[in-house]
Amino acid sequence: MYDAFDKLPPLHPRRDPEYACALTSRELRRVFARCGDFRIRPIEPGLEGGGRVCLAWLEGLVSGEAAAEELLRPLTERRRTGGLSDERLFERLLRGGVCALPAQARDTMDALVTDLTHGCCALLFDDLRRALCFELRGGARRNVAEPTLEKSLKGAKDSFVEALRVNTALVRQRLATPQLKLLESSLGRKSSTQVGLLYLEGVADPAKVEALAGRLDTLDVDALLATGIVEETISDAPRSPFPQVLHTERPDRFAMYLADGRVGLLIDGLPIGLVVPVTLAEFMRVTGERSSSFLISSVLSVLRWFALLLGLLLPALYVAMAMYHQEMIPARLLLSMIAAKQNVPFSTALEVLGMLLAFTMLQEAGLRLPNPIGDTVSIIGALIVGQSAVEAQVVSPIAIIVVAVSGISCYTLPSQDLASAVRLCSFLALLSAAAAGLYGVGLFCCLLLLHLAGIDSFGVSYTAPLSEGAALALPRLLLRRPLRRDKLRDPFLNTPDRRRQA
Amino acid sequence: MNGHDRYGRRQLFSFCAVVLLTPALRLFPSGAVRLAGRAAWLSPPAALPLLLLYFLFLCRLLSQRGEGEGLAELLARAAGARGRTAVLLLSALWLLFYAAFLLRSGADRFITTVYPHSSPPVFVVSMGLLGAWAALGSGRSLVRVGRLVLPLLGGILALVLFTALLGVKKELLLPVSGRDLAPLLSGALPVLDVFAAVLVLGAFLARGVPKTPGSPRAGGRWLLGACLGLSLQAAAVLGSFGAELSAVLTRPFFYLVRNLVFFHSLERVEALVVSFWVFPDFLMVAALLLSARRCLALVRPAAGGRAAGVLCGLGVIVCGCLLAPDAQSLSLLSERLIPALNMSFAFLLLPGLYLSGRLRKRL
Amino acid sequence: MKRTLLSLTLALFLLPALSGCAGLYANVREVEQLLVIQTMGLDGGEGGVRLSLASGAGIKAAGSPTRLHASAPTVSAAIEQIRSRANEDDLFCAHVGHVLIGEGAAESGVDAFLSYICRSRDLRLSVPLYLVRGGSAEEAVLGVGDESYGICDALDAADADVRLRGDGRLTSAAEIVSSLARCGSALICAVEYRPSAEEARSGGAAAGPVMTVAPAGYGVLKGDRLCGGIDREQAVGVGLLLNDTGPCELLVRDREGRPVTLTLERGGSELRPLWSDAGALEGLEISVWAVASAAELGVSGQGGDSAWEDDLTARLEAELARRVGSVLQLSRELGADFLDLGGRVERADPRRFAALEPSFGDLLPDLRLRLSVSGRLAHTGDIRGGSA
Repeated sequence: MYDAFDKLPPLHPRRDPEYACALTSRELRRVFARCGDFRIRPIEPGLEGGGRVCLAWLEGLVSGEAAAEELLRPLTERRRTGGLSDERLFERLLRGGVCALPAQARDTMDALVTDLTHGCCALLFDDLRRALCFELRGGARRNVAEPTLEKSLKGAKDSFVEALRVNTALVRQRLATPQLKLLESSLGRKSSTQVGLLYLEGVADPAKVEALAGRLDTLDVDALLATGIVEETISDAPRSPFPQVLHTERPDRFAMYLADGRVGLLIDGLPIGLVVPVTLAEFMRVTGERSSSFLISSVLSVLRWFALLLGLLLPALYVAMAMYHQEMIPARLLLSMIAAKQNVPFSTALEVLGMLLAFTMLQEAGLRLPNPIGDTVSIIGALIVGQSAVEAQVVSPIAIIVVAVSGISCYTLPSQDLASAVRLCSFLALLSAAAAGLYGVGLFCCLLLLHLAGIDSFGVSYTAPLSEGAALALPRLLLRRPLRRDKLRDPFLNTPDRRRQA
Repeated sequence: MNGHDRYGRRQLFSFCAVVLLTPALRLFPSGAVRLAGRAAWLSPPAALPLLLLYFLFLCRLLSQRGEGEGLAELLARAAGARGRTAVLLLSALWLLFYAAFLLRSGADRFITTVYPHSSPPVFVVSMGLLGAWAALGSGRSLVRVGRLVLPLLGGILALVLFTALLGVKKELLLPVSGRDLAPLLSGALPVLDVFAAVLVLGAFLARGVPKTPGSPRAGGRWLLGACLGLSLQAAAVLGSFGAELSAVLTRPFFYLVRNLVFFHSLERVEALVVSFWVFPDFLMVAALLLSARRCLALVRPAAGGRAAGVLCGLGVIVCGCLLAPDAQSLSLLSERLIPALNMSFAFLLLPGLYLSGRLRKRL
Repeated sequence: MKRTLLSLTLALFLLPALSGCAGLYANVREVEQLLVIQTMGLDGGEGGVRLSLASGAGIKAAGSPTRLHASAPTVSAAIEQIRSRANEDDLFCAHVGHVLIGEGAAESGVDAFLSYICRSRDLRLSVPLYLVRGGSAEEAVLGVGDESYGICDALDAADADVRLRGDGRLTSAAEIVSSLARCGSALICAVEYRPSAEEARSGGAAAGPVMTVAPAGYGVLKGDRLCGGIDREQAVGVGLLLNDTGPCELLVRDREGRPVTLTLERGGSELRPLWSDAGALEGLEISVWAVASAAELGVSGQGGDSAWEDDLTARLEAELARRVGSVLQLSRELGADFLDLGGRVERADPRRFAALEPSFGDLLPDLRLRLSVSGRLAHTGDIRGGSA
């Protein structure tokens, strides 16, 4: 037994092969011993010499109707299989004897087990020590539905689901070209999660594709059931609170990023597509930005960036001004603030810090609770508690306003990961302001900018295009060009083909 | 040379534009006004020809570098086997001393403008630690930060200058006649000092710029823009306060900001504007420490390691705390010693080493 | 590892200041500790300086402004005295929007006050300075207003009045210092401490009228002392000579003796120096132009024909000539170039100006001034017959 203070247990190298046994039905029964959903059924297809084959599957993963119709029926029709030898039947079935289903020949127990656990139905030939696997995936699967988080007025209304193959099909429908490459691998010793790496050949930088594939290869976990471990593995700065992998639930947005020259990841069991490389600017773009007029999109983009700054710095600026630089506050407002704060027992910094913490806790509570209760808690917290705090002169009204505006500003950010990072940084900015006023805020901003400038995402600066040497970088960051003029891909993606429009 | 520590020429120019603000507002326009009087706002254009010549010289010098090399490597080569240690140590000492001075001067700026009665070591230590921390990283991050903050600082300056220039009185700026020529030329000296340190620092950082043929025109445009900005700043100050008052005010630019009203409601924003100067201070101190580390690394590789970097940072902080305990000694440093050191390094040592290197065919 | 150590050191260094220890960054204050001072009054006194301060109304529950005063050798010492006596924790002078200087103090010299303002970290150089005509700054600061408003509100109203009208302009500390350095003389905006039209709200008629301050032209500083004054009428001439004129009313009488109110809409002046053959400055030719319109035609309200308008224009010119001439005459009598005529001569001919012996200020009293005024009636506002 190990506890936290003991040394880490030694690494256990992956056994290769995992199941070192002959490919027979008996061995298969032993591998899947005590698996209540494992089914194996011997069948006599009338082979020469009276040989038998066994049909094996995992109940729930395989469609029983399809198995019966597509597999059992042809096997039991003697006119098809009667009088054949084992090898002959094997070859016939492999080359189209069961015409509706793709078939894979398996010679190792490892491959057979992988196929069975991924919803295939296997036909074992004990004498040959070989098996044929047929894709007959069934089981409960969610249908393609509307996206829940990334809503769009003019865009498509479908979203990714948990099945990898459905997701790749959704992307393939939008990028109907053989240049859309899909590299599949299996990650997770126990979960054998299928992961698909997608990119457009000739558009994506091959170095980035290789780099991503290489990083995925280094991932050695027992179970890959969430995106976190993947994101941390492929991120250049996993300790940074700022997201470096963009995720989307929309196939159209995913395809758009691939068409821009980025590389995408789809993970079986997760209705999310991951995209790299990304910059901070990408997290500020919304779905449907390219569906609106460029003027409107540009104005809203500027507003979002302003909201980012407000969410990050407004509490800090308020504390700095109220505690250190009162001369910046207009005289009438200052007089009104003095009157409002006369009987408040706490310092400005503690007021704002307390309200920020309360706001964050209310938000977390609202997320965890079921919808009706969550809405009620938010309303109660915001209106009643805030109002009561002001009336009891525990906090001043302006502190509530500052914290509320800051919180609402964070909600306007398109990416919740980015919003969380901004909220965390706003606490740090607040502490810096309380310690040293605007000088402290300046120092904090230097630290923050240095941190962001030091992050690279697959060789692309996180703060591109502004930190790169491109001309007119700031207008390009804030504003959206008319699409007819947006003919080239971003230079920092280093794509082999920069032109995306004639 | 770390393959990751690369940046472009435009990024370097942006970085230099940002760090220019630190010496610019220390020396200008009060230094120039004392020498040139009412015509001080024309000192930057008066200094421009000499600056362009010097920039051409630096381009010529840097054209001798190899890939991944900067001014430190060129100095080492030009000095030869015997002199390289001395030259590199001298350069490192100058860089570190200048960094210590900037910490002290920056502290004084914050204290006199918005943090009265505070003690300088607080600012020296906080900024010094931050700069030392940044100098342990890569020059690329610093250059990127410079590029990120340039629009912000440029926007603030543009807003301040625009608001101030709307209210200048032309009788405080004009007339400028032939009699003002000699004072004008002497008023160009502070301008030269402002640019000397920045251009040399840029040359040290040029090791991160790929060695591709480039036209000096971009640098010429940069110098022109910078001189124009300084000129407008001086015009705003002189046009608001007049030469006599500007000459006696310490940091008249921030007095100017104090007196401006934006959009009929925002006033007394000098604290906000001064706090933006944290960025150029931080970048300049970090870049100086980084360059000093590079010089020491060329003397002995271990001396340029992280431990040495920490020691240099701590040394700079201690020196900054002990330097100039009062305003008079700080003024003496700022107006006499530091300009003398900067201009000696930039206009005497570098050209001297270049000539010596060319004559002895080391460059 | 070393970066981690450094970053921890940085954080630890900053965190103690969070505890509220004011030793690190010394200007930590909570807003409720502040007494916001918006008007400062400076007078000379036996001990050195008499300082009076007033806050805006509304910071206390009763909403009445706070008025404080002290005497000390210096302004800073007086502020410290007030601070130690005041109930509030901290005097906050960064929002001082007006500084009053008593007439007596101005006659003794304003250099010390200007020096304090230039050195002060709280006061702005653009803060308007006012000369209190016929009284002391302390009287005005302590006496203006009643329970509900004070000197700050009165001066805000006076500010607006001066800005909108053409018979005065605000003079900031920076302008005065700059003008004194350049010309040896400067104008300072003047106000008069006098009863207002309304009676005290609390005591009614028995309590007497409420005191206020109202714009009253300019004071003239020479060196750093007050040496003369310009009333509100003459101040129109100052505006014309400085090319900074706003709308103001002029009362003239037409040929029938009826009062006519003219609104001066805009105006300015041009200066041409007159040089002798030897290069000496003999005189100045000043051409003033003005555009006005008739605002009110007196009791009868009768307009006139074109001859009437020409006559009115001539009377306008005469009135402006009188006002401008009186200002020029005052400048010559005092030997004070508060209009910066020297600067205009310099801009017109820098080479000859540089060679002037003696300086312009010494030549001014003896210069020949040739004044011409050109006026134009833009419209008479005659509603009969649709005339312009």
